[in-house]
Amino acid sequence: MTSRDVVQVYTFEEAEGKTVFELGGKGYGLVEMSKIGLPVPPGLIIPTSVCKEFYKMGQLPPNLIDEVLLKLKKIEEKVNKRFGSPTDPLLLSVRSGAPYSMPGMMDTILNLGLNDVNVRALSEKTENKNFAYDLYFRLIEMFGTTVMGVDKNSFNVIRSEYQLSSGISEVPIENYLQAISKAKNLIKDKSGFEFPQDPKEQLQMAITMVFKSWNNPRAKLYRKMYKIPDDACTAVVLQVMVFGNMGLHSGSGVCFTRNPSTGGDELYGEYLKGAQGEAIVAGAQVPQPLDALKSELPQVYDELRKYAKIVERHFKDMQEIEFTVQEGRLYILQTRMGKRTPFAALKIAVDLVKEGVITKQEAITRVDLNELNKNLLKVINPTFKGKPILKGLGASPGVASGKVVFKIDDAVNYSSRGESIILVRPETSPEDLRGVSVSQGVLTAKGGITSHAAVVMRGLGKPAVVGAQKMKIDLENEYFSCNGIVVRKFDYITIDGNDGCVYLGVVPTIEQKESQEYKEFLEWLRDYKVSNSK
Amino acid sequence: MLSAQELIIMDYLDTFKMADERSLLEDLSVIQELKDILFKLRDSGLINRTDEGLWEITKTGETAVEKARKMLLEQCTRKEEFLNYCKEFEVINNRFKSLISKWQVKEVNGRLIPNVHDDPEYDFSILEQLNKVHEETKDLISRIANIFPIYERFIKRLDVTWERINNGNFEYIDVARNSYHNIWFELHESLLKLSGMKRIE
Repeated sequence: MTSRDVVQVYTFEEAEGKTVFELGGKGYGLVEMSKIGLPVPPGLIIPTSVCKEFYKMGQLPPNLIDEVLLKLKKIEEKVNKRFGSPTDPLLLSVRSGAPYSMPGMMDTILNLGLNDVNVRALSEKTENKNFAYDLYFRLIEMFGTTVMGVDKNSFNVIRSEYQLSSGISEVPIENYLQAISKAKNLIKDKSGFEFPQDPKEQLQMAITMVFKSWNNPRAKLYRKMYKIPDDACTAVVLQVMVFGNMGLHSGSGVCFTRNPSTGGDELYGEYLKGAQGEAIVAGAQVPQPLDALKSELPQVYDELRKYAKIVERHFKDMQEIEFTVQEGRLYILQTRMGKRTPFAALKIAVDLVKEGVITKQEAITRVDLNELNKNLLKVINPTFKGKPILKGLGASPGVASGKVVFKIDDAVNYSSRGESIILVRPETSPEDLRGVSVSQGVLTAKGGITSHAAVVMRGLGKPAVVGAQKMKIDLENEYFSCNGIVVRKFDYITIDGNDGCVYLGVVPTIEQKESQEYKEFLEWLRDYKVSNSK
Repeated sequence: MLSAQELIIMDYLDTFKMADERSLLEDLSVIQELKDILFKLRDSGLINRTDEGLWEITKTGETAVEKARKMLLEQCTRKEEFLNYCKEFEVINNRFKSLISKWQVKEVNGRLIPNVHDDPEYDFSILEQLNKVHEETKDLISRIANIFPIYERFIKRLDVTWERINNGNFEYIDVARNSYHNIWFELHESLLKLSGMKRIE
C-alpha cells in the first residue's frame, strides 16, 4: 500500500471511532464533542501516522497538502467561505496534538490563510479595518515566531512602537499597516525568507513545523523525563477560526465543569470580553470570573452550562473547556480532563458515582488513597476562637501540635518514643535534617518560604512556620519568648503551616478526612477489597 | 594536619554532626578505603562511633576541622577569587531555592497549596530552569574545585542525581535522602564554613 492509498486527513466525522493515539488528545476531544452535538467549529485532523511517515521520508508525504485542500472543500461548504479566497477567505487555526499532554511542542498559529490581498476584503466585509489587520498582524507574528524562528521579543518591540495592545487596538489604521510592513521585513531579515503570501504555502510550512516540533530539544527532554515513547508522534488539528475579538458580544474563556479546588458542582472559570483565547493564555489581559459572562450574555452562559454537563457525562469526568463567543454565538474549542486538588478529585469521584455517571469501581481506580492522604490538609477547627501567640510565614501547609524541643537529639529521641514533637530552631542547617525529618512540625525564627526548613518539610508533607521574627530563642536554657509569653521545652504548642500562626497548647483541628465523601469512599474501598478477596 | 581525604570526611561530619555508615559510603564514594580512614580518625579522637554504629564528630574534631579550614583559606593564594565564587553561589542559591519551592507548592489566592504535579507545562518549566541552574552550578563548582579540589566530589554527586531526575525519578529533586536539594544544602554549608560567610535565609 502506498501513501496514496492511506487516508492522511480526516474530517471530524470521518475520524469517529479512531483512538487518541491516532488523533492526538486535542483531535480526539474535538471529534468526540462534534459527535455528541456540541457547537465545535469544523476542522480536519492529520493523524499521528502521517508524522511517523514524515520522519521516515524526511519530508511531508507528497500528496498530503492536496488531500488537505480536498477535504477542506467539505468544510468550505459548511461555512460558506473558501480557503485562499481573495474576497471571502476561510481562516484556520493550526495546532499540534500529541496523544500525551506535552510541553515543548509547536505553539498554535491563528488566522492562517490571510495575506495582503484578502485582508483588505476582510476589512471591508466586516466593516472593521482594525479587526482585520489585527488578525493579520497576529498571524505574521505567530507564523514568524513558531515557523520562521524569529524571536518573539522583536515583534513585541514593533507592537510597542505602533501602540498595538494584545487586543484590537484603537489606533489609526496606518499604525497597523506600518507594523505589518515592519514585521514582514523583520521575518525577511532574520530568516532569509519572505512571509508567504500563498495560503497553501503557509499551510505546508505550518504542518511541517508541527511535525518537526515533535523532536524539539524541549519535547525530547520532556519525553525522556516522563517516559513517553519517542514514536508516539503528534497529530495536527486544522480548525475553522472563530473570533472572540469580533465586537461587543464576543469573548473567550476557560471553564471547569466543577470547582477544581473543592469539587463542588458549579461552573468555575474565566471570561475575557473581546479577546481571542490566546490573550488569556499569554496573561496579557486580566480575565474576569465566569459570572461576567452570566451577566453579559445570560443565554450563552446557560448554553455553556448545558454543554458542560453533556461533555462531562460523555467523558465521565470533570472537564476543562476552552470556549469562544463570536457575536453572541458559543463555540467549544477544546476539552480535556480538568486539573483538580486531591480533595476535589475525591469529591468529584464520589459525586459522579451518585449521579450514575461512573461506577464505584471506576471511582476507586481514580483516587489514589495514599497520595490523597498525603495531601489532605488539616486545618484549625473554625469553632476555635483562641488568639495566636506568634505569627510567622506559613511555609508548609497543614497543622501540627506537639511538645517543643530545641535540640536535634531531643527531636530524634522523643519522636522515636512516639511523642509528637515540634522542633524550634533559629534557622536550619544540614545538621538539623535528622531532627526535622522526625518532627511533626518545625518552627523557625528566621527564613522565608524558600528556606531549607520549608523545602524539607514540604518534601515530607509536614507543616512548617518560618520567619517568626518576634520569637527570641534561648537555646542554652531551652525556651523561647514572644510578646511577653515564655514557652519552655516540653510545653505544647500548635503551629499552622497554612497561615503561619502559632498557638499555645493543642488546638482542635478538622481534617478533610472527616468529610462525608472521604468516609463514603473508604466504605466503597473496603467493600471492594472484601468482595475481591472472596 | 588532615589529609585531603580526611578533610572531606571531617567536613561532611561537621556539616551533619552525625551520619550512618551507609550514607557516608554513598555520599563519599570518591574516597578510597573510607572505612579505614574513619577508624583512623576515631583513634585520633576526632570522630566517635556510637553504640548504634553511627559516626559523629567530637568537640575535638570540630576544633580540628575549623582550624584546618582556616589554614586552608589563609594559605590560599586565590582567596579573593574563591570568595567571589562563593558570592556567585549565593545568587544561584536564591534562584535554586525559589525553584524548588515552586516545584513543591503553588500560590493560589495568597495561600500555598501543594503542587500535585498534574500540570505538565508548569512542572516542566521548573525542570528546565533547574537544568540551567544545574549547568551553571557545575561550571561554578569546577572553578571552585580548581582552587580547592575537595569540592570536586560535589560535581559528580549532583550530576548523578540530575541524571536520575532526567530519567523521571522526581523524588530526587527534594524528597530522597540524597536528593538534589539535600546535596545542595550540604555543599552550601561547606562553602559557608570554609569562606566564613554567614547563611542568609
